[in-house]
Amino acid sequence: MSAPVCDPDHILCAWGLTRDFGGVQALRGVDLHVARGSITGLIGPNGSGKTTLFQVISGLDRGATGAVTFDRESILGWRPSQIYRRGLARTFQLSRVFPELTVLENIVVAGSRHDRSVTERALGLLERVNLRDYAAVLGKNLSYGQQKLVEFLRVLMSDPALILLDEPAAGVNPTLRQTLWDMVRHLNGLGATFLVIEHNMEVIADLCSEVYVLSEGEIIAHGDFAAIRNDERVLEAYFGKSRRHGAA
Amino acid sequence: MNNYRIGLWIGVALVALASLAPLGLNDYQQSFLLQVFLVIALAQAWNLISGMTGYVSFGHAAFFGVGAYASALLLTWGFPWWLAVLKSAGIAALLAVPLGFLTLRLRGPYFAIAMLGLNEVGRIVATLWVSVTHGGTGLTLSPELLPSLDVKYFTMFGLALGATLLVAWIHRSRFGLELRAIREDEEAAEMVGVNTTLNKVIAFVLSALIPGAVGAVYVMYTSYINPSSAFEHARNIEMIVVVLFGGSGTVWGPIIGAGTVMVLREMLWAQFPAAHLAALGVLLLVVVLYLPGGLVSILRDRQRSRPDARSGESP
Amino acid sequence: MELLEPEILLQLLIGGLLAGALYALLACGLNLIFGVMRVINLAHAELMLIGAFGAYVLFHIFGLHPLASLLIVVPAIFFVGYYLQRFLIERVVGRPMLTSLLATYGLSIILINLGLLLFSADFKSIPALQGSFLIDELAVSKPRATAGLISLLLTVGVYQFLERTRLGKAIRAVSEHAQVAAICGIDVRQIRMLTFGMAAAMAGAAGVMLSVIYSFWPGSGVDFIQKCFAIIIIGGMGNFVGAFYGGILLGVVEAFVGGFISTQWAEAAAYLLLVTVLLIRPTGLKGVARA
Repeated sequence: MSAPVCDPDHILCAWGLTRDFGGVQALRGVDLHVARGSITGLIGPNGSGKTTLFQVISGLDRGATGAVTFDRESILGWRPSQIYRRGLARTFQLSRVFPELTVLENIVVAGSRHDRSVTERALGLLERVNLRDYAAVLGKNLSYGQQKLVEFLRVLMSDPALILLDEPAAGVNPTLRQTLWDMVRHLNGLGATFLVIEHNMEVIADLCSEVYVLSEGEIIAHGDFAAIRNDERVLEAYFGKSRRHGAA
Repeated sequence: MNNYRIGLWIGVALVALASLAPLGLNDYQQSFLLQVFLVIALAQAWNLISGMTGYVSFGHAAFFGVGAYASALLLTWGFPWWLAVLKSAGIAALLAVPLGFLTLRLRGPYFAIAMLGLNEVGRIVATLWVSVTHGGTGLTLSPELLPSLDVKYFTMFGLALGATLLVAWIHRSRFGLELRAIREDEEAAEMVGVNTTLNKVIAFVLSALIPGAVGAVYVMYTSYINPSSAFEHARNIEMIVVVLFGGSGTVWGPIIGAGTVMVLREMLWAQFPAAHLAALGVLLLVVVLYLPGGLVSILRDRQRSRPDARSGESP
Repeated sequence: MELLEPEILLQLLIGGLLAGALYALLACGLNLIFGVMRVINLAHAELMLIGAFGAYVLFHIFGLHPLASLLIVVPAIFFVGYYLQRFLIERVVGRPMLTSLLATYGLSIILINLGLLLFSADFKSIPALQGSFLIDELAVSKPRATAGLISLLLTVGVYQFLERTRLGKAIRAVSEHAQVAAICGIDVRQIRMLTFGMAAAMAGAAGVMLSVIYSFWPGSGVDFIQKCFAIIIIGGMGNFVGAFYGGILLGVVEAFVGGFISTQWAEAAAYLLLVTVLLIRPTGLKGVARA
């Protein structure tokens, strides 16, 4: 199947993504276009398929049909490591630091094999979030929030053009959460694109220029946050027929 | 002086001792050391795939068996002993390439069980392929084909040393870091750019190469091989217990484990092989339940509790 | 072709079904343990051999018929299993799967070698049942028929127990969701001990059945445990009914491979089946996807 052409302004395009788990359709024909240099939000009720979508785009789930292009290259069916090296990185909803590796090793392993200055770069990143003192600590000995932050730093080692963040702030204390969002903004200023799953609507409103709403495996709305929050279908998906609780 | 330096000096001292040992030992003692080296080399091979990469193999003796048979055949066909060792190692490694691609798709217990099956398949093939292996009768090598005890001793020593240096090098290398990341969380490793399949297969092939060579020398030592001695289940047990007891995923663990287990065997239960294995079973239980890090972890924990411990831990 | 005559085929089929019933009894117990505590019991075949040697001792010392010794051996091994769970397996439940795998591996090594110390490496057998039943042209060996039918009966009995009784339902509840079961007031720890005891008793019964058909030695377990792995992977890990069908399938495949090619290749059938299944479905045909 030849993929439709992705507009050059979009760094990531997905068409008709469908993922079928033995009769249960987690994704049904998802179309998604992430603008270059944007911070795009992905919201939706629990179980709507957000994480599945990330699994498919990042290559960990290779059982989907449809088309995905990243930077105008079709990446569906690639190995996750290839996709990462190409410049598309992601974090996990629940922290997945390597527990028996030190913080520094956790970050270095994500860097390029051929980069001699990989250790200095990793230490530099730790410096930025005031974790340099923890370089020799094992991943499992960090607090949960620190683990999520390290996981975030880890994917920066490849200078990714697009970063998928799966609820990066969940379970993280407010101070670290601020550090994290500041970092996202800073990197976005330097040109990185983000696709973010987040439940806190204030963060979405504040951060995202465009928002996609996923419900039961389908994109039911997209546009800027103001448009989304008043969309009938979105309110219905979140609150059922008897809404009236205020979305934001 | 940091841990690395201390380890290095102890290593140099041990190498010197082992090299000079044949001068002052009788044949029996020299044979004992040869067997210690055999266990060390096998343990390091197992350590590489199971300790560092986390893929626990219950059947790595399969490659030992392949090496032993290959070597026995090559010797009878008139190849010199050293070429037989090299070729046997090569055959085991070559065989490991497709097997690695197939079995390493399996996770956790599935891999362990598949490897157990592989060892049994090796035994069945050796039994049924009578035209080459002489089936259950086995192959006997005439003494004039075999090198002297000194040659066998130093070859086995070289294999133990080589396997240890390989593990030590991998431990400090980028490759080793990627293997450890795979052990910790394979998906996450793949997600940060580690080509997990390729890394696993390379580790697997290296870990098959060593038992292939060890098996080749072993058959020169015993001058006889049959399906049950080549694919002996006890050998799998020994590899696993020695590494876990010493400390899996470490450089010194297999050496300490092999030394301890072999000396215990020699002193306590050499006359009762069943008691020896039963004791290994008990040891395995004790280690799994009470000492997950092995003997090495006791030493290391003492180090860690020192105030300056953290500064010595840069990668 | 002589082999393609219907009588021969029927003979092979019946032989396969009977052998398969014994495998099923063993493998269902293994899967019961896996279902309830996510532990692969590598010592399962050694529990079976305890049953076989128990029957052997009772026969040669007290002259007790193996079928009668079932009544002693099976309850005894239930308690062996119950206390193994209490003092050993309980410590590794919930730890990484490799921990429990290695722990039960250690247990199996200990049992095999204790067996060697007690009984030596000689093959033992119990000459209690001999001869064949003749049904028309078909000859079915008495020991095989007896062992197969009793195994079948026991497996179906345990299945009915799991399906119908309160305790059986509690076991299934723990198997499906231990936490929910605990909230519902089920004593999960007690259930685990009962389960392991029951599975051990099934293995012990299989051992007694084995002792009337085959000769055995303390190292006989390896073949059986590997066959069981093949079976539970084919049938789905933790799936009782799957293990039953898997066992029957393996018995029949072995019988036909043995009949058409050679008995030595029949030994390899389980491994070939196992390898094929693992290659097609790296996580097994059914059951839990990842460890």
